[in-house]
Amino acid sequence: MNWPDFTVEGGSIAAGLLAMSLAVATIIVGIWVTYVTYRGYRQSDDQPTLFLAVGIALAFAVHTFARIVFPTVGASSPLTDTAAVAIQIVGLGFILYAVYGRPEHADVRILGGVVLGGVFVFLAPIIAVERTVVDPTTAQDGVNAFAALVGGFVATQAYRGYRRYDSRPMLLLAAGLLLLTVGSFVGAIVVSTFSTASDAEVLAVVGGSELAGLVLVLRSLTQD
Amino acid sequence: MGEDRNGITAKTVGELLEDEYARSILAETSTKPRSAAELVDRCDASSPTVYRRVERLEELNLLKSEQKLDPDGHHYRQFSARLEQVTIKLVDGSYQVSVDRAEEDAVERFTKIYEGLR
Repeated sequence: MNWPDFTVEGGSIAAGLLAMSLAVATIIVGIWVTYVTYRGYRQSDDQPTLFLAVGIALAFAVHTFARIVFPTVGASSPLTDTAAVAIQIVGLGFILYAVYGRPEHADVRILGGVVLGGVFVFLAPIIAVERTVVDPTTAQDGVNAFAALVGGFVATQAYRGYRRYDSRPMLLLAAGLLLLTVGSFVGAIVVSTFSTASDAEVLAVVGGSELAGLVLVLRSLTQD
Repeated sequence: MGEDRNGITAKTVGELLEDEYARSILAETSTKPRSAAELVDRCDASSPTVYRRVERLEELNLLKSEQKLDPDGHHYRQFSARLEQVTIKLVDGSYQVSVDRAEEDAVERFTKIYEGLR
């Protein structure tokens, strides 16, 4: 998270290349995760699995994809970052609904609520910045912190699943979730606050954390 | 014949009630979670007997198991009954079975759905 503009300044060419290859690898793993969840849904063909599959695809794959692609097509950074995080929050909402809701009797109102929540998360900081209630960085950090909070909660539930049922996939999922939400958020804050890192270096930390998280999620879905 | 969603028919209910060990395993695990070793003790059964019944009851979703860690760091499973009530109705020449089970919690549901996705 906290992905700055892709056209970074002040970073060396090596750092730029590293970020570039991270981006390509992330997109490939993201597509792979989406494919595996889609196949899993087709096999089981029930409602809760559908919501979980959509949630995972949004929160992990589409989120990382949006973070990489939006800035490269030239949209401004705080806006695209918020959009990418809003997608992640909607995805986490789907996962929570699959677990806590009653997706067997899927309710359009609840789905609408999740999507509206995402739109709110996207718009609230922009409006707050427009009205100069908060400065852009604070708004962006706020949205990221919220996603990290929700992600941390889902990761905790996954970890409890591992402890109780000795389920290795749940351990990998918990670790992946943690890296994708809390890890990239905390990592970016720590690096940019306590060091004189360039944008490219912050980007590499965030990108590395998210890629590692995606790989763990992929492992959790494919490992025997 | 009216089946429960885990495939329990009136015949299954009859078989389970007739089976002394299945009956006492359900009864013992309804008060508190028990390990297989405890069930062998309390139900006065051999361990293969207990495992066979436990497996069958899990299949029918009448028993749930949790992984626990003993003080030596070994994993073992603890079972608790999920069964709360069985109703059998005779309607228009067929038996309709419905089973009320203790609700599964979020962690259990999450693990189950996620493993189903693999």
